Amino acid sequence: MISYILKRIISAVPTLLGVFLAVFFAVRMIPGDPAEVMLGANATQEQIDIYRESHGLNRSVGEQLVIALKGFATGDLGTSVSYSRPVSEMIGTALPSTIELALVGVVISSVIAVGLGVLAAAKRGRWPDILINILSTVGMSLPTFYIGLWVLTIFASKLGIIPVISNRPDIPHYKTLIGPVITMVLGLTLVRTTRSSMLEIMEEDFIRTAKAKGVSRKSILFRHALGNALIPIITMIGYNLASAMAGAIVLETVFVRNGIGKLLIDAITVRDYPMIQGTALVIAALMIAANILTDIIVALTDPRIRVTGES
Amino acid sequence: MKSILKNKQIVIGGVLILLIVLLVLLAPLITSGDYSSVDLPNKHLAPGPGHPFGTDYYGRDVWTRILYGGRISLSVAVCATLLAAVCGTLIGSVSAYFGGAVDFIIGRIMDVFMSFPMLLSSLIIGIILKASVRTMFLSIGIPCIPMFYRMTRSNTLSIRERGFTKAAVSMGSGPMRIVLRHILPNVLPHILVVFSSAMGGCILAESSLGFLGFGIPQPTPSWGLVVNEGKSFMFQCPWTAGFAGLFIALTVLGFNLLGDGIRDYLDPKIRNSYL
Repeated sequence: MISYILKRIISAVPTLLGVFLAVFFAVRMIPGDPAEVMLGANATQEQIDIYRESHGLNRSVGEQLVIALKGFATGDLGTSVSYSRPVSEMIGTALPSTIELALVGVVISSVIAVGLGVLAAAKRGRWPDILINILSTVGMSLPTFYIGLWVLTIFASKLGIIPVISNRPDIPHYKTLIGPVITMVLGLTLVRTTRSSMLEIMEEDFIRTAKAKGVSRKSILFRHALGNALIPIITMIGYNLASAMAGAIVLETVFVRNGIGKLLIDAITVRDYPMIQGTALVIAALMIAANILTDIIVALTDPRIRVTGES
Repeated sequence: MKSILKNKQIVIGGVLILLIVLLVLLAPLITSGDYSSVDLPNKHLAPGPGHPFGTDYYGRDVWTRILYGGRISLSVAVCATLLAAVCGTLIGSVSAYFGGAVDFIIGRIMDVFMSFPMLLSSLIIGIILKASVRTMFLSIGIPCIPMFYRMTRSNTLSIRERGFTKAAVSMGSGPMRIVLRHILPNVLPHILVVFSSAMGGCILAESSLGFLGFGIPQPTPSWGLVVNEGKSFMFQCPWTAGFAGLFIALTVLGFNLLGDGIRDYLDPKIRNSYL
């Protein structure tokens, strides 16, 4: 198992390096002189010269790449233009709240969605199934920002339960999670995976055997069926966790909650390129990490994958 | 054909899309046609006679703006999806057909691509290309390429091993002919499934970029822009962003249903959805 985990982690290193190169060259493809672009339109010629010198912009692209790689490897992502603070420090402050939102949101929405999926599979073809199917199909078609706007309108403006703006210091921390989490729950992304995975397992012989042996319906549904239907569900939860990083970009903007997504959007608004570069890198790295974590959990749940993965 | 029409998802999805496309095409006949002139005394009117969806902050008719916005949003989504479909299918079939080093290198590049959330890639490409009506399809379409690549590659790999492909190779057909005559026609139905969900994804992407403020800029109305303009007044007059979002959601729903329907139709084993 350990060798599988190691292999999976090592296989991500080239991807991470590729991500770094992609961001490095993408930022350099932005029209305009990098120094002027990084310093903004109001920079003087002297400032531009100093910046070029200190960032090695007067050297060849190859040398620049080496400098940037060294920085990346040691956790130095440059200095934010708009905040004049190290990018890695600012990301470090913002990251926990994004990870918290992603984890809490994914856990709560997964529990609810799996519950609904099991209910739909158990009542196959009857009204609860049809209703849950319609709700999840509609939920999956609604843009995240749209659900978020209505959650904000109803829960913050009409009912006053959650704050309109979440990044004020006087707001209790747990309250800043409520709106985004409700939005994530209403997306109902996991219901259909659970339902179809359950239905597939329910056709298996061992379910019929369990029924014949007189095992209770509850035990068949949750122990026999759900237990064996877990692999696609876990894979999907992992996918949701990875996409929660992208979801954070939208959710943190809707609910004005501090986090890496908001940092990115603010950086794009003021064209703070070192910050864009840093946040993009970290978001991609988080997605890679979420995918590795999913693969490892799937391997732990299903020995077959582990064995074929090792051989 | 009859059995296609028996599939409720295809029918409902198809009708939804058809209705929205019709409304958007008929915009000059069923709206005032004036989506940009400012009428400040009539700003933020609630939906009512004359303005079925109310008016926005500048007193512009929301119904007109949404229908004209649909023209831009749908065309951008179609162009973006076509771009992704053509590039992704081409890269995927080449990658799978040649295998070896080509497949390995392309695969690693795609891995890198897929490590970025699509929204993030769109944002970055948008900065590089300076978002406009003309470049928006690139910002949205390029991040969708891996969707088509993955599907084409895995299907090509299995078709390559099938008897008729091997027969064609043994009769001396070249790689071009094999890919175009034998592989692509067999991948096509699967491309349709991905195409439909990618259309939904591109419409979502355009509106999300618009919502974040990095979509197609003024003055051309697109669904993303209408949502963006309405979001600040969501509490007082939710109809601007509300109705625009509703159109976006219905269109995405249509494409999702259509995609699911085609998938189920192609694979009767999973025909178990009740919608």
